[in-house]
Amino acid sequence: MCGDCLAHAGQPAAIGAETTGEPVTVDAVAASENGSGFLLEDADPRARLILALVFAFVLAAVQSVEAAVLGLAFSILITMASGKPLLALLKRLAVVNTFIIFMWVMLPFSFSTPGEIIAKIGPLEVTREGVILASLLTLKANAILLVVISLLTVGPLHLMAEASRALGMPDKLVNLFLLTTRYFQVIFDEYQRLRLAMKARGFKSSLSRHSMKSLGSLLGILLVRSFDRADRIHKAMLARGYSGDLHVRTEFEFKKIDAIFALSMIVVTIVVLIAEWNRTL
Amino acid sequence: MEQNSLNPVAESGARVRLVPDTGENLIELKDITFAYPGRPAIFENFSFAFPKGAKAGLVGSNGSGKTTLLQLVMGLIKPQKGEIRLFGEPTKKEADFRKARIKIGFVFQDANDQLFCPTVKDDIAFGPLNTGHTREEADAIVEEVLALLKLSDFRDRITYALSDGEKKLVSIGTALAMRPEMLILDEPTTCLDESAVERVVKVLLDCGLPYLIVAHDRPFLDRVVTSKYLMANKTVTPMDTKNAILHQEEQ
Repeated sequence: MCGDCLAHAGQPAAIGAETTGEPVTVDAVAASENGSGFLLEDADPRARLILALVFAFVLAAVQSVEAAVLGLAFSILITMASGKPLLALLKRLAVVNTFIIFMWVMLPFSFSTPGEIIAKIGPLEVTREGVILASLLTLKANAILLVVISLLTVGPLHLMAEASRALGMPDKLVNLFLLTTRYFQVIFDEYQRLRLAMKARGFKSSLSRHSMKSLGSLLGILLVRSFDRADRIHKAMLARGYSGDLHVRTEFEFKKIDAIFALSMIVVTIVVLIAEWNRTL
Repeated sequence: MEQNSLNPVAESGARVRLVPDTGENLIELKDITFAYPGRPAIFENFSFAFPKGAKAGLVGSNGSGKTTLLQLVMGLIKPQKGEIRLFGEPTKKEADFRKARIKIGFVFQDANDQLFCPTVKDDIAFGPLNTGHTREEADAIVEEVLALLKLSDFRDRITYALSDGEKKLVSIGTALAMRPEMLILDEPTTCLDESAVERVVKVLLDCGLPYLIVAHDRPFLDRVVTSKYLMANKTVTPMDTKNAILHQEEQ
């Protein structure tokens, strides 16, 4: 258990230097993941969840480049309003766009049958349809990703679980999600402590047999510890009279600001749909 | 050693008695035998009693069975043989333990095991809601407990983002929220810095409840308990305590 000390050794003791027991003032930890408290974070999580899903579905369904461009533009605006740090955002986008690069390698050359040829690279023919499809995929993927990140991952994660409960998600799934959000960081910290301890003994991961074996043991011990921890958590819950209900309930309130947010999202979604119906490309 | 442990010198006041004294004890273990599956016995014909009003510490080397003892008391593991009485009532079945458990505020060693809810408020309300309090009553208890811990600003904090010291105070709070008749704390000071330990000491001295604390931290124990017990060789024996503060207060 004392391995825990290691992980926190570097952190400042937030308990307050004074021993008199003065209440410690707290900065908004709710915004722990994303800097400052922007408008979108305060919006009703239920509204954020529904509207993000509807907008994402509409984006996934559109077939025209105009609608996709419009969708991406709106997504960028929504992202700006979310106050997500740019660097973290770009990192996430980079992951998805790595896959999209492969689309660009394949798609422009794959429409040989009825396609209109716009360029030739050696024996390969680039078709207009192929380029349009690749652009459409790129635009849609990025737009959906941005809107999901900026509407669903702002603010405390557990509120998203609670919002899905309020919208009729079964209790068991919600509780599973709540416990996952609670213990993901704990298990990840444990993993990092173990990795650090391995590094301290000169371990470097490679494709060698020794390295694979060590990483296997790491994964194994992580599983065993997580299992033990689950057992202890269950015991701690029993000690407090647990009988099947986590009693975690967040009351949501649909405020004026939420109505404004919902209305803007609906308008944005409709505009994208209109662009789709009047498409030319 | 063995003899001594069976017939300890009777001390005045609230001391752990090794010979059960029915009616006056909050916890009584009699002739307990326990072993984890496939392992040698940790306890054989083990007896232990915790009287009303005691503030006791339990020390012992790693693996001497301290945590096992606490879990037996809570009915989280069941002995192969022997009798457990909690608050004067025999506890055999899970239903008996469920009734007794909620009268004991149990603070686990690792606060991450105890705090599983998204926010501090949810976690403190969990126990009272389990014992049938309404949400309004539970909210009132949350406020009361947070005020007692001087953590009123922490109501909506996310539990995983607390410091170790804050987590420990909140886990003691989750135990106090059960309105227990006694507290059991397993290593409450591990991983805590000095100022956090100070706050734990203050909360314990102010709570007005009897408690049993398992700890390696002797200086800490000396400040909060009136009697200390050593767990070794599968038995519990009293130790000399030179507790300044509490003994003076008692006199």
